Amino acid sequence: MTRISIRRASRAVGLAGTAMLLGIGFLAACNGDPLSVPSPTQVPAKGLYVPSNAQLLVNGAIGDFECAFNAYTALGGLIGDELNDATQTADRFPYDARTMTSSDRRYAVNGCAGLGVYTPLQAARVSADAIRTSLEGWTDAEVPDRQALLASVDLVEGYSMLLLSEGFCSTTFTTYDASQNPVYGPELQPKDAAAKAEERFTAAIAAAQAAGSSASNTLYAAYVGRARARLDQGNLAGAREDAVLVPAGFVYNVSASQSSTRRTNRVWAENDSINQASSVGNYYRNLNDARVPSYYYGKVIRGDSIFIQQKYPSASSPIPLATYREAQLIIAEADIATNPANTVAIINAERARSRAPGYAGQPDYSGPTDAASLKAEVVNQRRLALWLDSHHLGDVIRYGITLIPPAGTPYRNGGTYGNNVCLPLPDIERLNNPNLQ
Amino acid sequence: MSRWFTFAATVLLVGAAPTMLRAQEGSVAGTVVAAGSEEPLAGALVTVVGGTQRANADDQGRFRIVGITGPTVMLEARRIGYRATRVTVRNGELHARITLSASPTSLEAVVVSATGGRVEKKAIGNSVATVDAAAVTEIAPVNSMQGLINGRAPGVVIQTATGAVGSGGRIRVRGNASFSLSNEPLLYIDGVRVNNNPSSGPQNQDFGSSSISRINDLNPEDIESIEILKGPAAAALYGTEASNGVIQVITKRGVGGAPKWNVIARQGVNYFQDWESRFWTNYGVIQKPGAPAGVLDTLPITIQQIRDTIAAYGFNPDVFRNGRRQETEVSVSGGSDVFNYYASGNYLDDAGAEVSNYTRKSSGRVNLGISPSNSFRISVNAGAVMGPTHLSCEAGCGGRVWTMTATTPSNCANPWTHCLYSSLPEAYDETYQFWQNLNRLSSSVRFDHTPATWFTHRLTAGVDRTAEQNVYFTPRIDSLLASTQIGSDALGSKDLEERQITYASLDYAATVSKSFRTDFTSATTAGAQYYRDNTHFARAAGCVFPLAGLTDISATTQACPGLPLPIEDGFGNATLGVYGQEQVGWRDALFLIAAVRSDNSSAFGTNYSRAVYPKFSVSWILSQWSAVHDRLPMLNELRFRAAYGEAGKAPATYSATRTFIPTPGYNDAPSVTAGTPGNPNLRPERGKEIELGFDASAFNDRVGLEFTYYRKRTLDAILDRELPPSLGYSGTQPFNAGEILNSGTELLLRGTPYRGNQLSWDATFTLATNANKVVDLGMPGVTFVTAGTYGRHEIGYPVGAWFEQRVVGGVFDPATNKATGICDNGSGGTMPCYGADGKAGTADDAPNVYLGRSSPPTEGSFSSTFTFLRNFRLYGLVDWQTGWKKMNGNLRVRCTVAVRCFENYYPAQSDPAIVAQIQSNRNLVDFLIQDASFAKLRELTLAYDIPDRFARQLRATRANIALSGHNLHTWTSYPGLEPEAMFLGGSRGTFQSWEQTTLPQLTQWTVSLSLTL
Repeated sequence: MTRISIRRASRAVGLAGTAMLLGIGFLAACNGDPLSVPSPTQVPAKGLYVPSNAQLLVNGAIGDFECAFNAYTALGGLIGDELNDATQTADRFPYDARTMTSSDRRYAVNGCAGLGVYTPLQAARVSADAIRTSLEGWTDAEVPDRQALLASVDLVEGYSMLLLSEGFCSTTFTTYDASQNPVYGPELQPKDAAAKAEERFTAAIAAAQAAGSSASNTLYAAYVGRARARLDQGNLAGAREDAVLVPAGFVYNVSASQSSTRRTNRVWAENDSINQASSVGNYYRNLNDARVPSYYYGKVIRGDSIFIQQKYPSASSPIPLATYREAQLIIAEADIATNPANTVAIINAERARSRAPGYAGQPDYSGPTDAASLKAEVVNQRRLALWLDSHHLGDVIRYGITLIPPAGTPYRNGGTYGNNVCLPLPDIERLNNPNLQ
Repeated sequence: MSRWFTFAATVLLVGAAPTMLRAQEGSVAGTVVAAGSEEPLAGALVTVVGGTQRANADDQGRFRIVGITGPTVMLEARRIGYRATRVTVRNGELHARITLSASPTSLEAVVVSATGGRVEKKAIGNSVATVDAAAVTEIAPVNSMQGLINGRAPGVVIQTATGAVGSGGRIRVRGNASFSLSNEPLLYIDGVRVNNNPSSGPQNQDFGSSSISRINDLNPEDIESIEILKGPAAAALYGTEASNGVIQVITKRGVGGAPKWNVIARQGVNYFQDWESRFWTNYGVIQKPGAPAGVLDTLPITIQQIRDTIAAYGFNPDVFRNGRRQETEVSVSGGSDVFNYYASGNYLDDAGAEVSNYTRKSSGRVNLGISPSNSFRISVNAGAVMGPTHLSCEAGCGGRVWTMTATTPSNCANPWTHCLYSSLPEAYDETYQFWQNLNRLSSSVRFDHTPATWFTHRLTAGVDRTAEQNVYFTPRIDSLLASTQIGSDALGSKDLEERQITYASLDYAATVSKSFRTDFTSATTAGAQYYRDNTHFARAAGCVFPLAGLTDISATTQACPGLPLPIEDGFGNATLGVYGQEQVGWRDALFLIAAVRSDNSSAFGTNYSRAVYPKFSVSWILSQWSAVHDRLPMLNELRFRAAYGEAGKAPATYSATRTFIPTPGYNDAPSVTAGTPGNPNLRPERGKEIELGFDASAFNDRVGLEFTYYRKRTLDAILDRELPPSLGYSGTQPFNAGEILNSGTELLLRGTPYRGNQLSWDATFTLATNANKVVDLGMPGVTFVTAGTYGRHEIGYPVGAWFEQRVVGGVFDPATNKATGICDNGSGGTMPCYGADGKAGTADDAPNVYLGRSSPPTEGSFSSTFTFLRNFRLYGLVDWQTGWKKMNGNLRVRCTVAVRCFENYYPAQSDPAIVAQIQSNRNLVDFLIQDASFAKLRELTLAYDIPDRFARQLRATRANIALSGHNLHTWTSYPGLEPEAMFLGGSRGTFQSWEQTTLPQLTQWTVSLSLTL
């Protein structure tokens, strides 16, 4: 090697070293860790479940439920003839036409803002279960109002289970063990799932009672919820026991707001003067009943006249979840055999509400008072009093209500109306749940 | 970053300063020409063998090299498509003449090595597909980068999505190798990794049918060549992201000499070929004239009836137009042995077959080369592109194809539709406006330093920044408020997304070369690479403009339903890798390479630390041996090659981490909700590939053959498994599922069957096969997982294959007008599709069986260039893809959703097997999954080189005029609109080839005039 090439080699090595140093300097400039790429919007789970975040997590669990509840109410409205689909989106048609199958993905997979119900309800259930488990492990000193928070999450977990039992042909509940490993449950028939929901309402009642007056609303909502769960199981007497504990005028609302799509009243989003994705169902049009207010929008879409509901006038209109009126109707149903006069009284109280100013409404009940007739009338009053608030789909399944239009009628988007009213356990659950394969 | 560049440049310049004092030694000069034609070979690279001096030939083929010492010097000249040649000239020779012979498969051709330098093909043991872009665009203009690659690289499949101008498709190299990660190859421009998103654009299309591919931002006229590394065997040193292959784009460089100006002007037309005969006759019902109310009549409706009806109401019956294409290109190149440059500007105004579809792109490129000394070179490359691309409604969005797909007589009385399905075409154009404004700048700087003949090192830094503005705009149109379809959309809305994507990379490599014992050569390389990308986006929307004429979100009065806006978010990824490589050559006949790379990435799970990828290759040039050469004298070159390599594919950003998302909760109180489930054990996918092949040329290089067999295993393939929702998560969880196997062969045959004074014929044939199957899903007892609608990843079958019940017959009951399907029972027999209970969705139903691949297992091309009467060239390219199936979503919509098919109304006169499926409420879909094999006359060009005497009258040294056609004819049995059209995203666009109301590839004719000044 010549002297010149040795000099060049030395210089080259020097340059290589310089370049390497530059590279190292560049990497070091990246906040010390060149591989650190933090997310600007996502929160790592690690360290989140601590007592100081209890309220945040409870808010999240309730929020999860509220969004799922809104979707269930709207989709249940489409299936249960409270709404008619007015879009040209083909994957919405099966619900409106009652031809949905387990492979349909909208109800199974979509988020709550996209009319998904199964995944959002399960997510709400698990979300509530997770913070409930943590709350049970923390102390009152660590978490202010711990019992009230416990009651709240027990309540929404119970309602999540209840809707999964009412609207679905079958369901399943997965929980987590102390190591956060999943514990898959069996496939549950609706009454079995309702029994699980009842357990949560019972826990909610206990926690609310322990919390005292700060949780009274939660307490009464849990009474209504447990009564509803018992009704679903055919336990009329048990349902009545809870229903009578609900004070007059009580309303527990699912909140809504315009702050985000997730918080929007989903029924309003489906059916208002701007968003005509749906029309009011045929049965509910022109009833002149204050409980089912709607008007003709003066427009026909795909052969269907567009009626706009007025029960929820804005995106932030709350939807009642548990009410004194529902409790009364539960009592009315329970009393058909034992105290029909009370049943008629409750029916007439409901009928009186239909006659608010501006509405002709329904006169007092004057029909036959045999058990079957009264049952039919209670069912009819539930249909009107609890319109578009999550009850009707369950009632359709439980009471076998004939929907309008009936099965076999030509469907305006092709084919005919079917008679699938309960949502099947979706394929995404059955195919991926090791307990169900 | 900019400060860092300045610092780096300063240090390297200062370090190299002493060598910049150019020695005042001798010089040589001369001309490089092609054998036979004696045409000058512009751009040929002339180097001093054993030295560092080099020069590029100018447009007259001239070169000049200074700094020559000694009485003689050996020069080597190279150019793509020609055999490298060495000549010895005396110092001071100024008229050296170097003649290069055309060589279709020349092993002396140089390609970009994985370590960033240039290496002869013969030294590497893997195949590298090379597209001589400059030569292609000289023969025939191409529309896009994807058009440049299509049919020219065996094993590389371009799957176009739609014919909308400005859109693009996806690229698959050697089959699908991943379940859930992108299967796109990496894209490098001049050694710097850049954005290669195949599906950007406004969220205007359900399922992503009309997306904009970032690779098509590149102007084909700026490309010198494209080199494609097809898998881990070749791309191991590219590391954790390279298992799907790497596309290396080398842009044009300036060559020495006076400024050479090129001006190209093109005018053309795009149109939907034979659109009137490609839509279907639909059926529907109307009130029977004169009959009591409710008595219906079934009628067909033809396209001609629709045209007549539309025209009768004063609307344009030409639903699809002839869109105009205009393009102007100006480039200049030149320089000296110290400084060279290439600069270009391009303006493209391209209009599609739909009124609302057009793109107007302006692009430019500046490439500078500075050689302060023979040992030091700085290359600065910058390319920019900007302008809007307006897309039309498609697929679930609606639009012209949609409204034509399901026409019906029952809509004829509707003043808003006039027999069309949804709305009049003009209403769509007026209402739905989608566009992307693009501003993109890709830049790089590279320092090459060769301080000694045995040592070179280089530093490359690059930034690629893409700014997209994606807009979905519907103006307020009061006159359409009463429309039965547009409805409240006519109140107006705007959805605006600003997205910025930045790729930054830094590469350093140093190579020590030496020879020993005269027979052996060695090159040892070590290097490091840092790569980081970042995407930041903000999105806002508003609905309902109170008055017409308002355009901005602030003028809207409502939140938009279904849009969780405004949002601002971002994500990124960083990878740091180091590598080393040893290359040994023996007697210029045997080359061995051993290399290893180690990576760490921000996307790896916390329980996984570092990935290591080895590589080995051998290249054995038999034609160097006299024993072979003497026995097979017709052989010019013959070599065998073998390579083994591993490369990875990093998990998606943040997919390894369990997260929560901030959101308003109960009563709008602050809260969080479950985000991604995460997976702390997540590792990168690992591709392991072995590649064997040979290259040969014979008969004076008139025939060249490349053959490759590959077998690629993807281990730890990441699968986004659907979780049972009862776990409480929406979406999917990534995990290292198992193994995918791809194997196949690639053949490239090039030749000149005839060469004469008045006629010569050059032809190229490519054929590639791909066998793809899932080997393991990593879940005991699980044999398949769903892969989108009607698809599965099933062990033993191709990735994302079609699986449904196969209907083999049907039984029609005239009493009920219903048919029941007979299905394949999965074991060679048949059974009722719904089993004994006759109900769909129960346990006794016929099983889902394999119906076919969703991507083509065989593809190929044949191209020919006839040069005749000295000045004429006729070029044609036919490509084909066979052996795959598509979902004919148009048929699905017409027959099973909109009820427009003959079988819907006349079941007794139809095939009962089809009727059974149509009546099945979409439970039976076998008839919709159809063979989509096709061959397409992709390109046809007739070019004429204007004689010099006429060219000179135009003040040009060369002039050329060409008539070119694209997508001129399709041979296929596929009954849908277009075998190539498909979704690119969503649940129906990941693996499935699903066509639904998407625009076919447009036929295009252009006339080009090219002048060299």
